[in-house]
Amino acid sequence: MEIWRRFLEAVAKGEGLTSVTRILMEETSCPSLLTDVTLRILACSFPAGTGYKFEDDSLPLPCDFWLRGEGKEIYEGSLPLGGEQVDFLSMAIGQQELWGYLFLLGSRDDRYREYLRAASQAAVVELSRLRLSQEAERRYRNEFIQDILYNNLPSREAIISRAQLWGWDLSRPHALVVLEVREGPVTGHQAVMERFRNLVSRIAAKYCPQVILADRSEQLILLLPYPLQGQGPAKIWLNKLLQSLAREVEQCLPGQEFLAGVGRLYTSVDQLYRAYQEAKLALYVGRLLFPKEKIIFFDQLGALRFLINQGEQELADFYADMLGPLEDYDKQHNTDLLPTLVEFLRSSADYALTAERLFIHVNTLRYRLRKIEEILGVDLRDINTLVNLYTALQAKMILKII
Amino acid sequence: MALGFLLDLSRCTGCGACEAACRREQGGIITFRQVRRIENYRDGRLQIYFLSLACQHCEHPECFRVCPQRAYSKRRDGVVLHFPGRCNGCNSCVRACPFQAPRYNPATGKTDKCNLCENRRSAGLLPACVEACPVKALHLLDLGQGREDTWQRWIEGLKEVSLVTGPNLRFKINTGQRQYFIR
Repeated sequence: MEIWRRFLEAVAKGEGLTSVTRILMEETSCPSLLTDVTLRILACSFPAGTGYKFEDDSLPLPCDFWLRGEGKEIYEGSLPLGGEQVDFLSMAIGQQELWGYLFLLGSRDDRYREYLRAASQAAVVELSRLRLSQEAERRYRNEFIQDILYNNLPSREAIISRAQLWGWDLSRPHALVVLEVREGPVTGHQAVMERFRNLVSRIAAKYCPQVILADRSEQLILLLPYPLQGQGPAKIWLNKLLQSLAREVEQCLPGQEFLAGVGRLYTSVDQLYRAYQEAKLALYVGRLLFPKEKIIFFDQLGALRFLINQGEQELADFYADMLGPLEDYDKQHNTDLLPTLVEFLRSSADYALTAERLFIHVNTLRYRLRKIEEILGVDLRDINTLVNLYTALQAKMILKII
Repeated sequence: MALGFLLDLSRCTGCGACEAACRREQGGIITFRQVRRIENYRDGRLQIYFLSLACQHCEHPECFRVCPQRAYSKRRDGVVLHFPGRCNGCNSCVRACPFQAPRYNPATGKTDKCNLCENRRSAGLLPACVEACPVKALHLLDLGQGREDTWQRWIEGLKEVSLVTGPNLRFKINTGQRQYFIR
């Protein structure tokens, strides 16, 4: 009970997170650490004469290490530190929602389990205090960014001078990226979003230290200063950065897929409101038309973005005009001409590739394509025909008929 | 907060009081609200109802995106505002809006749009169109309160309109109860 009393006293005095790791270290004589959900170290205490160096202030463990514990209250494992494997005991902080982890390094002694339990409860109180102040800051930051993204500030100068209060240099050109998790809200979604935000914030700062992060409902908004070497190199740089970000975030959030929409690159901050709308549109259209893509640039949508602004009736009519007869023929004769055409267009009109993907002989494919030409009265070697048919298929995707 | 409109289709009679109230509020020259009569055949029955439409203060407003003059902004309460001082009357916003909510004002040579009766609301009043509705079919709605799934987002009468902009417009249809004007 003595250990519980020590932690309770420390919490009552509001001594902060460091007091939790300090007491744990004093009681066990082992190094103790407290991390957030992304394994970034928030507080640590080491006995005199010991110490470890941590890269990026993070523990060298995969973010999903906790899942290997199969629901056990305390996880036992080892991690590589200073060229050797160091044993540790770890306990999650938070009950309804995961807030972080406590680590006791260099021991797996069963006697220390009770100490970890007490420390975990104290850490919950201290972390909740910390989060209150962080939440307030986050709210004000989000509101300021929302004002920029909704064009609520009068001029470029006003934006730049107000951003200086936050320590941001918005006189540099910034790219705007909207991120979201592919799956919609599920059980524990709040916790996933919290983790997603923490991870993105940490990982994005690793690749681009001046990144600005805001969140709005289910989406995260990144403002990234990009190198001024022209649009092409900036896009390549951004694409690489987002791919690395997606890879690392997905490693830490198994089962969750990450999507990014990128607006056009504007050189002035007072145009960011436009980039924001474009990024959201890219995400929306990309979900429908490019379901396998994770990073969608607004520019990449090309002419397809005009389809999105059309009403349902117009799209349905266009589809019926272009591909209606083929669909009817398939229904009446129980054939697969429409799927063949879809695959042909998806294979960029490459005969060999289409035949391979459909597991049919090229001559069979030629026969089917001739039949399609006959039914639709078109020439599939004509680029106008291909563009129209492709657009009709995208219209169908938008209508979610497929 | 995300302000928008709720339209009770089973109450709207298409009387046009909302349209007239809007016109009066705008000085009698233009109106930002229009009532459309919709006729549909559903299960072999003719269905008639009315859609009272104005700016829906969309979540992703296209008018806002396409305006080359930065004449639009969206406030924290979700209201999309237009600043006529910046507008050059190019009409890009009129073409971009799926509801054609911004209107060209021939008197000023600029476009203008519904601001959800900003002046009236700051005086504690409802927007003119909402207040004028004699059958209480039109309501002001805050979609930020998490009740948005209570109402329908789409109805047959909007099939010619793209909803990609996320309009803050919801519909109420009392399918199981007495319906006043849908037949």
